[in-house]
Amino acid sequence: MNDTDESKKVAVITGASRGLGRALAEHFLAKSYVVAGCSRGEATISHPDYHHAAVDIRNETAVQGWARSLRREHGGVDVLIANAGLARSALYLSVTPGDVFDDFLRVNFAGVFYTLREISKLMLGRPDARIITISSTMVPLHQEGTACYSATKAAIEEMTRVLAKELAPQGITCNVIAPAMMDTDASQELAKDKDWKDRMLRLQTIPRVIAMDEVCHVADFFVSPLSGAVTGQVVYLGLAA
Amino acid sequence: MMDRQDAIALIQESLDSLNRSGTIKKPISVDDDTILMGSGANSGLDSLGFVTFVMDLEDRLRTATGADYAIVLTDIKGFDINNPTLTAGILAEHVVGLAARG
Repeated sequence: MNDTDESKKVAVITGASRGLGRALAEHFLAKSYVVAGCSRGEATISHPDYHHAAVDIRNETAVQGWARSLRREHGGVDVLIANAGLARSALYLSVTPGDVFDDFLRVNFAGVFYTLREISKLMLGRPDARIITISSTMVPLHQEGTACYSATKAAIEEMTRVLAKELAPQGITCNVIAPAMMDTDASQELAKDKDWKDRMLRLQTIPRVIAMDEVCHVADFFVSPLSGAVTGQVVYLGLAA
Repeated sequence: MMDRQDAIALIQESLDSLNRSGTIKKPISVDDDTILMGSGANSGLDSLGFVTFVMDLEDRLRTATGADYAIVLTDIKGFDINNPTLTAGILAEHVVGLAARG
């Protein structure tokens, strides 16, 4: 059963209940997309074209089940933004507990892998389908205290580049948006330490917080039909990398 | 109750449909020894074509049985991830098992 108005494109966004994911979901809804979002919790967006699922992307079976329900409800997917991720307070590698490392691997790496694998199947045969993953300027900065976080984000960049090659014959592009500091729940938590926030901003080429709209603007660029030859790219916002 | 011949027929229907849509260039007549994936594959499916085939087969299985099934390669008895070759016969056996488990 396909419940989607077929004149509307379908965007799937993970981590859609708050922060950047929510901003992206609202942005694509405003562009008349049908948006299927997920997060571990309940929906925080109320809109007739917004469909929420409580999915923990660390759980392979849960992601597979969600993908099957998306196929039934929407038929296919035009845009995937694999946004869900974990940002945590920074510790030097030598004192980082194993469970923190495991959390980063499971959410930022395995979770994104399951999402890309399952949702990309729903994009085969969709003209101008687009995949966007989210990284961070912490990758080119090699900043102390971000070994686990940055390693998983670097892995996402590489996974996206490889996927770009694999899906190019299908006309599907895969790109990465890597913003510097943003106003999200995670960064606000970290920024309670004023020194940390000031230190991070000084590392940026554009030393200010990146706005959600600026990320949405880059997403629009990647999603544009005129960007069909743009694939395997990483756009860093706020940093000359 | 689905039997092996029913499963082979579903595989045939799926490959016929992929041929009509242009995913497979030439029509193929399926038997137990048809190699769908891996060394010596004669199904005409490339790797993304194989993904499309599996999804199409899952859809047909749902239509035929009314239940949702996920075909996971590593669950298939006789499929070796290090030497990945999948014949229609092995897949049909797996599909029959899936349908029987309900």
